[in-house]
Amino acid sequence: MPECAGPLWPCGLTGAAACLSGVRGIGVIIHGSAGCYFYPATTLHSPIYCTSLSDHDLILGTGDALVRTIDGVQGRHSMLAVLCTCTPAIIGEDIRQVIDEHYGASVRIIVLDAPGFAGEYEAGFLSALSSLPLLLDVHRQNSVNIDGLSLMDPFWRGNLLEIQRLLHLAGAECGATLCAGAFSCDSELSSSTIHANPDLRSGFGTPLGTMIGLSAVKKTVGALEDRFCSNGGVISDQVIPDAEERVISACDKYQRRFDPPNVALFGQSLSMQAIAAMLTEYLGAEIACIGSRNSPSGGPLPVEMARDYGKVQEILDRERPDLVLGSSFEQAACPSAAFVGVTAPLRGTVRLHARPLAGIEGSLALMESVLNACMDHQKGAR
Amino acid sequence: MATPNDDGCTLTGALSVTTEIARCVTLIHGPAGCAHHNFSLLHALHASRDFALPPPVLSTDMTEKEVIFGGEQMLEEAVFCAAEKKPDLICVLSTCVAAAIGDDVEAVCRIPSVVPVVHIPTAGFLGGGFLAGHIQALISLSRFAGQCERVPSVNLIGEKTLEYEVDEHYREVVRLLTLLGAPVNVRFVCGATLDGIRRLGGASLNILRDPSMRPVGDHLHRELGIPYIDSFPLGLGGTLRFLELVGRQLSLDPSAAVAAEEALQKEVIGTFAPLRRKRVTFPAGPAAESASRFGYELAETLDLEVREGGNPVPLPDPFPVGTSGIRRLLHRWRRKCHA
Repeated sequence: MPECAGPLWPCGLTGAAACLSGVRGIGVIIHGSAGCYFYPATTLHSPIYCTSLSDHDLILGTGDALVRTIDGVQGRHSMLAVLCTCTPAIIGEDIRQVIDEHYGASVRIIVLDAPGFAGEYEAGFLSALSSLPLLLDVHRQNSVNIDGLSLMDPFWRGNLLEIQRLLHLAGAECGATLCAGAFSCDSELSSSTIHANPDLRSGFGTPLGTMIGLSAVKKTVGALEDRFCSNGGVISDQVIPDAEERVISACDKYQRRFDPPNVALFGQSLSMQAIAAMLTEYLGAEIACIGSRNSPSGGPLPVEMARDYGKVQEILDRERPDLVLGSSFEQAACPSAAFVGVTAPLRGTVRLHARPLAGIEGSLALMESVLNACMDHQKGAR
Repeated sequence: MATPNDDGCTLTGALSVTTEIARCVTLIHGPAGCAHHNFSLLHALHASRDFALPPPVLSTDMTEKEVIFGGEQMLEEAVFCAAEKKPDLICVLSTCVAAAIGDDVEAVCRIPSVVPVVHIPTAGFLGGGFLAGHIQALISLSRFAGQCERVPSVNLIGEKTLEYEVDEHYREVVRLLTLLGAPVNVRFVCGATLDGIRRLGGASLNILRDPSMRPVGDHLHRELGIPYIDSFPLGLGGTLRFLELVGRQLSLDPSAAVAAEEALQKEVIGTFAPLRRKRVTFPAGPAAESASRFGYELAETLDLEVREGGNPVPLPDPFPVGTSGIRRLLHRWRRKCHA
């Protein structure tokens, strides 16, 4: 049996709920038990509904509970999304048929099979995204979509603001923001897309690049400016060199007193690889390991799965890093190391402002946090 | 409209009990997602209570394969793996999925093991809500309690371990009991050990966290013959009555304790005299109703005017425990009234 000691990553249902609850105009209904509802409802900070199935529904069919819920919320949203959890999936009801019989075409309703036992968070998110009736407007050439925004991500708000800022500097408009901010179920997609999170790429539009890690930002901004600025651009000419110089200077100063850290990173695979590359390039960090929450999908550095607390502890005991980047689970598992939070959840701290992880400001914020954490750790060890 | 069930999941209720027991491994038989939801929630609440580590929670990580072919074999192997960690106790919690596919979790838990294995039936919505899971877990675990020599002491039963102020409430009850000279025998189940649970029968009185715990109080009365008081002390008058009641039950004279507490309450009320004649509004809604009588008692004592359009002050449900809880609440009222 694959031992799973303290699962650290949400299921596909939560991924689907995170995606759709970030779309304006959609009312998300979790078709399942109150237990399945409670977690996404509390972590996404977005109003969602639940059919609160009981044993009675399991025996006699869940259709009545669903119809009652839809009746109660229709009219409040321009579209409803019904997310079927494990139990409706097991008993095999045809939910689409139930809805068609009751409502026909009178209510716009998406039905999505999202049983938690059948897939991981990213799969649920992307499956929900692909279920939206989105239209690509090929004439929207002056704007760029931003994808990879998830309400589960503690950095989504900061990432959105930072990428919007960069788009503005590059002379482009912000297109659809998948799935947060002003994005609505009736938004039209622009013809090109930037990825705020490389692990949640939508596949919509021509990809212009990702925004995690300064190297990736440089490439993506270059592509943006090639497209929107006829005579080069202020970001490539001024903003990035200035930011890079500040990072180099700060890392150089750090290395005058301290050795580079031995780093363990935990989070989504491609994002962690991009961050690892930045730490190596600017700080000369040794990458002890990358523990991935999702199934690795390529990338330059070796990655091992770390989806449960037991595995995380095993890796940390083996590698003994002096800097850990991850969630507050990793912080708890390795209190002797310096820690920087880059992965959900980040518990036990107050977080109020829109801190980015993506873009230039995200890279600067991350390097600042890393250097401060390492210096505090080194001083504490003396 | 079917509304969200505020009561939450049975599994969460049971986990709020089992994860409090030292050297207890909790095994959730279901998909990893169910375990993650709860593990993450517990991690958050433990962090806010300054616990360094998340609780030991295992999952059988049920997938489509087990949903189709059954998960009992997987559960048996998981119990074996959990036992190899040499805990004092293994609690096995079932989920909606395990119940829907008909796994006989109880039968697997009866297989002899070197470590005691307790099955707590918590099949998500099939088993009721959060409260049902909380009660079920306490009753299931009380099987370890035996009769033992009784001394004048109390057990605290059914503390809401997910409450943000759970430790503050506990300290207040201990302070009041100390005024009476009554020690706490066992907290069932905050920070308990299996040995502690075995000693439950040594107390003369059980104090329930609130009346929702009466099924547990009744069960312990039947099994161990221990009477109970059905709530921690709430409100000014309620706190004094609590002292009288506990004193009477334990055959202790409460008069000195009551006098000392009355003096403290006068001092607290005096501290908040600038609130006098302020206009306040209590939050509406069913959640606040049960707390409102304590709110009105406080308003009357402080000479506050409760009316629409007044300063909106919080009236938490559950209401803060004892005189110390009232003092913390009045600080929040003072901030709202800018007094």
